[in-house]
Amino acid sequence: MANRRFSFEELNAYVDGEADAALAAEIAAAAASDRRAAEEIAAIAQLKAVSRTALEQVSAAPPPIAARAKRPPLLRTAAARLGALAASLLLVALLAAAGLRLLQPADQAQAWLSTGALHYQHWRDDQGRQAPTRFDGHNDGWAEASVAGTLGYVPDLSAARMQLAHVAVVSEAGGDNLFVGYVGRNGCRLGLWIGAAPEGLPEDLVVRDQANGETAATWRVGGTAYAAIARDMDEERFQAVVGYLHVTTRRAPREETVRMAGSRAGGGAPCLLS
Amino acid sequence: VAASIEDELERYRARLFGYGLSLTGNREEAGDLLQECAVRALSARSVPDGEPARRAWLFRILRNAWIDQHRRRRVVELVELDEGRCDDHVLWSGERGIIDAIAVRQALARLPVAYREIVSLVDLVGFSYSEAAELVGVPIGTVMSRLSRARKALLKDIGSARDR
Repeated sequence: MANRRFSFEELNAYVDGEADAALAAEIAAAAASDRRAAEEIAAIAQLKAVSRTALEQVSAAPPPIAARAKRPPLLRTAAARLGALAASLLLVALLAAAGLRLLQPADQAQAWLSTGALHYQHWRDDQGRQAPTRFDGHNDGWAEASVAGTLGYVPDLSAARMQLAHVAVVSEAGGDNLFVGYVGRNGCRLGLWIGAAPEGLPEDLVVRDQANGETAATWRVGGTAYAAIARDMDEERFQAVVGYLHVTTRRAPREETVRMAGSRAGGGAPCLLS
Repeated sequence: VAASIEDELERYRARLFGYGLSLTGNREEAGDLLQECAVRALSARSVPDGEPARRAWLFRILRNAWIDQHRRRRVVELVELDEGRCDDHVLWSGERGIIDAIAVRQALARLPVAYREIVSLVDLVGFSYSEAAELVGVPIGTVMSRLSRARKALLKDIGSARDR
């Protein structure tokens, strides 16, 4: 009994006060003579305490609850309801008109790109996401991916030494968009944002430095817009991968493009593995 | 009853928000979930009696709101934790050091949501394993397994950060 090794689950249950009396007594006795068990219990207990502190810190200053049990009285007559509806419609129409005047084509393209950049940041910061449940590479540079039960095709960057890691359909910015995440061998993360082309987005590749240190490249193929977004990726590597994507999304990839993108995989500064 | 629900919402506001943060990883979305939870709770026709049941009910409402939000966005969520992130050989042994809150916060953010959720429910909200299991809709064994794997991954992550 003295040599029994407790599972990590059992030690967790002990620290959390969830072990039954017999197990708790057994672990307590073992901890007195087994240094490794004692260290593990101490580590779990310390982690539990600090996790609570960390979680309390991030959830400090929550927003006030806006809803209240005592609500304004409901509109009582049909006329009042119609009046309110008309006022709402008028407000919507005025806002829409103002928006159409104020949002120029270049702004629309930037707004669409900014939405993609937000999804890139969200995905990049959440390293727990794993590869899609299934995907198959194809010789023509496209991979078949299963997204929310629907099969679709996304560019395959394995030739550029980047693996497909995440695919999501995102209903925002006035329609469905596709976000595709790729991870390189050095931890580089590149996002590909695909959606209906906003007005003013040129067909040609345009590289844009974003305010938060990210680099983005946009282009358009017919009515479909593409944006490749990365941070901390070597500039030459980024351009090579984007060049490959640009070609792939227009036609079957040329051999020299595939080689070019792949040959730069080991060069340049590695991405930060944050 | 409505007034007491307001009191309960206020009492658990920070922890509901923290739980929302663990689900979304985003303060704005967590704030939206908190508001949605409040609206649903205040408009409910029947409310459980007793403090523990009411607390579980509020967290379930918030979780259901999150699930509804996910369904609308159709975001693919993959929850399995890589075995390499939680194997026994890399378990941080508490090596004569202090685990600091910043390192834990960063490591928590890197956990898959299904694991971060359990850590949040047990360590922040204070749920028992059985309460967490009932809320998430999984057996107690799954809660124990997820919590164990999550903590191993956290310890490994923190240990790796210290080695860098």
